[in-house]
Amino acid sequence: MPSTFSKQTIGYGIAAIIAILGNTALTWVKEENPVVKAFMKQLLYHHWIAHGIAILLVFLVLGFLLSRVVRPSQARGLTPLLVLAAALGAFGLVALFLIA
Amino acid sequence: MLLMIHPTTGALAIFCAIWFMVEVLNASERNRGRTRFAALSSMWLMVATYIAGGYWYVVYYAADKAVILKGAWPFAHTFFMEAKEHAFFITLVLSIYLAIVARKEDFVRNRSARVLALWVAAMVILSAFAMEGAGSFIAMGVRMGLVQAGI
Repeated sequence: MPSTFSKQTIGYGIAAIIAILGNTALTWVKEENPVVKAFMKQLLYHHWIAHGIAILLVFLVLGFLLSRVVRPSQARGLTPLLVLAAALGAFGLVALFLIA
Repeated sequence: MLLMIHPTTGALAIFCAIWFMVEVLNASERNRGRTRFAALSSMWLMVATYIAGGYWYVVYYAADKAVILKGAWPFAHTFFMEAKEHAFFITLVLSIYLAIVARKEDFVRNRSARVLALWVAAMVILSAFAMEGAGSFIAMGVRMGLVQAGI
């Protein structure tokens, strides 16, 4: 079907939206709670390493799992939601460090 | 050396994303392979950027950070570096997603897939350019710190 997305495109697309928003949420939580930051540092030598691996795992694992669950469809909201998530994610990070 | 590899692979990833957009805009049966190769190249170059920049950041950045914070441009760290090190994950996730979309979708027949791919590639390009710009502020922050210290 011409305007249908594959299940991988939809699954990994939803996972990308969650990973991008999760990245901003985790940054806020980490920066506002030194205990969380210290825990992440303790986990993998540097909080940034733990942060990056967590976000990549969310994207790849969730994308893999969702790809097995969803069906190919038109998924009309996928593109605008992905753009919105990226814009919100970036804005959230800029706002956090501007305020800080 | 790491500080040269990091922005160079980042810039090459941008070029490959632009190349990908051009291929998608001219999608046909003949350029299918090239389109996928462009997306895959952009992804692997972004992964290389992540590894090179990440290694430098974790191992060597502490000294630069101290110089920046004592200099005239502390915001080079408190805003630009802090925002860059976290916003990079958005770019990385999008560039991996771009390679997945390029592998799984038919850009010749599927207009929705073309629109999605073009948006994702545009976001990779825009965010990666912002990273390059932030990087230049950080480098200038170090320079300002060294000048202030009389070095």
